[in-house]
Order: sequence, then structure tokens, then C-alpha cells
Amino acid sequence: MSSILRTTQLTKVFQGREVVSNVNMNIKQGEIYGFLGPNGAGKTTIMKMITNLVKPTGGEIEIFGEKLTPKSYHLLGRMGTIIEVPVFYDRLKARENLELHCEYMGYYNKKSIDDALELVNLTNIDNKPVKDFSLGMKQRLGIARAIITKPELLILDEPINGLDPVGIKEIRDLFKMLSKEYGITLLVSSHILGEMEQMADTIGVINHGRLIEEVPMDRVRERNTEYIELIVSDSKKAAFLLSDQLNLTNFKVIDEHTLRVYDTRTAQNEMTKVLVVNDVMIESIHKKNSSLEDYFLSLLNGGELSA
Amino acid sequence: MLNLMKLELKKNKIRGNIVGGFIATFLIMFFVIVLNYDTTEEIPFSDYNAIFAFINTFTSITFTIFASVLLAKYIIDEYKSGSITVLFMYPLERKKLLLAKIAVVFLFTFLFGIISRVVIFTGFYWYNQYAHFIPGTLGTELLLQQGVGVLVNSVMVSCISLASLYFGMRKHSVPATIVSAIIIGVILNSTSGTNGFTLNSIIIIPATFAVIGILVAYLAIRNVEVKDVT
Repeated sequence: MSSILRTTQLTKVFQGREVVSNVNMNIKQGEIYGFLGPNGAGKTTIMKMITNLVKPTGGEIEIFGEKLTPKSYHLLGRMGTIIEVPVFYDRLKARENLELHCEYMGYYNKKSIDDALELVNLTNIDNKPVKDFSLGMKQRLGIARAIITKPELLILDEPINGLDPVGIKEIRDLFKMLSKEYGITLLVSSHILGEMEQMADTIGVINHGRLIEEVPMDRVRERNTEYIELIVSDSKKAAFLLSDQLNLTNFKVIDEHTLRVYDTRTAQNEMTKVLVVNDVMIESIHKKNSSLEDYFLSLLNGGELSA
Repeated sequence: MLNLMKLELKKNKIRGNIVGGFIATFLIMFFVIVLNYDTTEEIPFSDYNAIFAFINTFTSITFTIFASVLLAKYIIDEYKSGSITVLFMYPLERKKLLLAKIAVVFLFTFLFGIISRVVIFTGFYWYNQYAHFIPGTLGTELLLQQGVGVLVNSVMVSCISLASLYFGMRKHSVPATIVSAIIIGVILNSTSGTNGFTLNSIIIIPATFAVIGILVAYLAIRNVEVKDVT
């Protein structure tokens, strides 16, 4: 797959503070690229640089094989965007906002407005000004606006903010559909790990303005490990018992009551027996999957955060 | 460009401003008429020239401020609400987008400058037919001369009122836009009032101010292409 967006040594300094440092990211055609990082990591700034709202201090951005310059207006016509929060002309109705958008984009297929509203499941909203919308509805309308002109690249900053669980699933399915059926490339940012895990093809992890890792989701899944988590009355004693009596070495004491055993071949009932016989009370025991969350946290904590 | 201006009108619902413009116009007209009943001092207006000068001063100040309110609504508000980020992500030159807004404000101020003066004077003239504040008839020559004056003055007011954009854009502040317009309006019109109406003041001085207004407005949007929108 060819790359649709590439940044090289992208850097932004705001008032002497480097908020984005030497980011090299690479988004392939047709994929969903999940941009993951805590608040203030620099996700929005990078997205603003891609959409030309903010100009880089250093490095460059290449979109659709073309270098982005302050005069690259034509490239903006091939993108659909939500940056930070979806902003509208509040006093106007939803449809009026979308009509304006089409006019500015130079897109004159009126039917596409209905199609987009239907895709995001916003109906019967015609007579309400946008200022009366809930955040979730604005988010849906924002997505509708972004996809209305069938862009090649969608840049969505925290698009599931403010949506309820059912809404999140709908929107996730919509993104997958746009990617699979229309071949649209999506750059989606979020700080909600589980969400990224469920839809992204590639994950870019960013913290303190640095792209810590860029990795295909498949590889993350491979890396996932299973383990047995035990919640007991005294984890230290339990740890001693497990190593002493069952010769287990591959486990980790998480806190006073929690233990993780990575050697999943050990039968659970054996562990239970040893612990109970030696007066360690067991509150729970079950098999778990190390999820993206663990992986993500380990990446974020790998640096200066672990103390 | 014309299309962009049309979109601005669609976006901002100009109708409310038109109503506002007419309300201001009728207030000034009312004021001009009522002032004639003030008999405590000397006669307020001795002839039509004095009436014209008064109307000119008042509409100039009013529409300089009016223009700044429009600039605040069309440009500063978009920055404040964040919708400017949406606007600037369209495949269009930013200067063009802002120029369309400025052009709408300019045209509005210019047209209303003329309409307002004509309406106010016509209203006064009719009323004068019954009240006889000012004796004598209106000469064609005077009317023609004042007509040119109204035209020139409207152009000048529309240009100079754009200068307030510069002060508003510095911190994207609506009050700064409007306050600077009030200051500009009052200063300019108090000086031109004492100078009286000479041919020189009709052409050279307004022309200078008009050029300054346009230049200052240009300064306000000069760097918009490379400036970060945060």
C-alpha cells in the first residue's frame, strides 16, 4: 500500500516550548490510523499542521504525494476534518451548515447532504438551530460534514467524544465501512484505548510531542500475552508459596492483593489448592488478556513517568 | 469573490442589520427634527447647509460604529467561536475569504451611508414643509453639491471605518473593534465639523483618510496566510 500522508522530522515550537518534536509518521492509503495519546500530547497540534491551520517550525508534511505549503489550498479540498471540537455556525440549522460547507468546498451534489445525515443517523433535525444540539449530535453532524464531499483523507480529532456507547459503536462501524467500502483513509485521534483497539489498523502512540511508536494493530495483538490474575488476601505470601511449592518463576506481584501469573499452563486448581491449604484467602482467580491498554501504558511509562 | 460574499450574507443573516440600519436612520431623523424645537438658544439650524453638515456628521459617526459592529460579527466572532478553523480549512485563499467579508461590510456601510442621508434629509424636508423651520426653497445647485458630498463622504466613511479591524484583530476582541471605531469616528468628525465644508476638505482630506483606512485594514489581514490559527 502506498503512503498517503508522511511527516518528516515534524516539529512545532510555541513560545519557546517544543510541543511537537521530530515526528515521523506514515499513514498508508485506505487504513484507519489511530492516533493515541494522553491529553496535551500534541495530537491536535499535529492535526492542525496537517490541515495547514498551524505552520510547522521544522520538518515537512507530504500529503497525496505533494509537499504541504501555506499555499496548498487545493489539498484541503481532498480532506474532511474535525479539529478539536466540531464548530458550526450555531444560529443556523444543521442543513444550512452543511449547505454552506458544500458551497465552500465547491461540491454541488445536493443529495449527498441527505446521504451523509443518514450515515451518521441524524434525522428529523431540520428545524433546530445547531446551538440546541447536544455534544453527541454535534459530533455526528461534524462527522457528516467531514464525509459529505467524499474526501480521500478524513482527519478526525476525538470524534467519539460525547457519544453514548450505542453511538460509539455506530460511529465505529461507520468508520470501518468508510475505510473498507469507500477506500477512505482515516486519521482518528483518541485517548480512549479500547476504541482504538477495536477499529485502528495502525496505531501511533504519542506523548510529550514525540511519536513513541508506530505499529500495526496485528503486531500489537501478537504481542498480547495471556495471564492468570489472582486477587488474594496477601500477595507476598502467595508469591512465596507459588515459587516455593509450584516452582513458578514467571509471575509478578502487582500490589498487596494482586498477582499475575504468566505461566498459563499451570492449572488453576493447583494454585488454588496450594494457597488455600496455606491459609491465603482467594477472592478471585481468572484468565486475562493483556490488552492494548497494558501495552500502551507500558509505552507511556517506559520513559520518565516510571518512578 | 461575488460568490464568497453571497455566502457571507447567507451565513450571517444580514436582514437584522438592515433593520438596525433603518432604526439608526430614523432615530437620527427624529433627532434632527426635534432639535429644531429647541428655542432656548439661538436658532439651531439657519439654513439647509447647516442641516446637511449636521446629518453628515451624525451619520458618519453612526455608520463608522455600525461598520465596526459588522466587522466584529463577520470576522472577530468567527475567530472567537472557532468557526474560523472550519473556514480556513476550505480549499480557498484565506485573504480572499477575509476580503469577501470586508467587502460585504464596506458595501453595506457605503450603501447605508447614502440611503440613510437621503432618507433623513427627505424626512426633514417633508416635515419642514409643514413646520417651516428653515425658510426658502432648495436650489438645484445646492442639492447637486450636497449630493456629491454625500457620495464622497460615504466612500470615506466606509474606508476609514475598516481601520477598526486592525485594532480588533490584534487580540480578536469585539470591544477593541467597536471602541476604536467610536474613537476614530468622533475624532475625524469633530475636526471636519470645525473646518467647515471647503472643496479641499471634500477631496484631499477624505481621500487621505480613505487610503489610510484601507491600508490599516490590509495590515490586519496581511499575514493571515502564514499565521497559526489556534
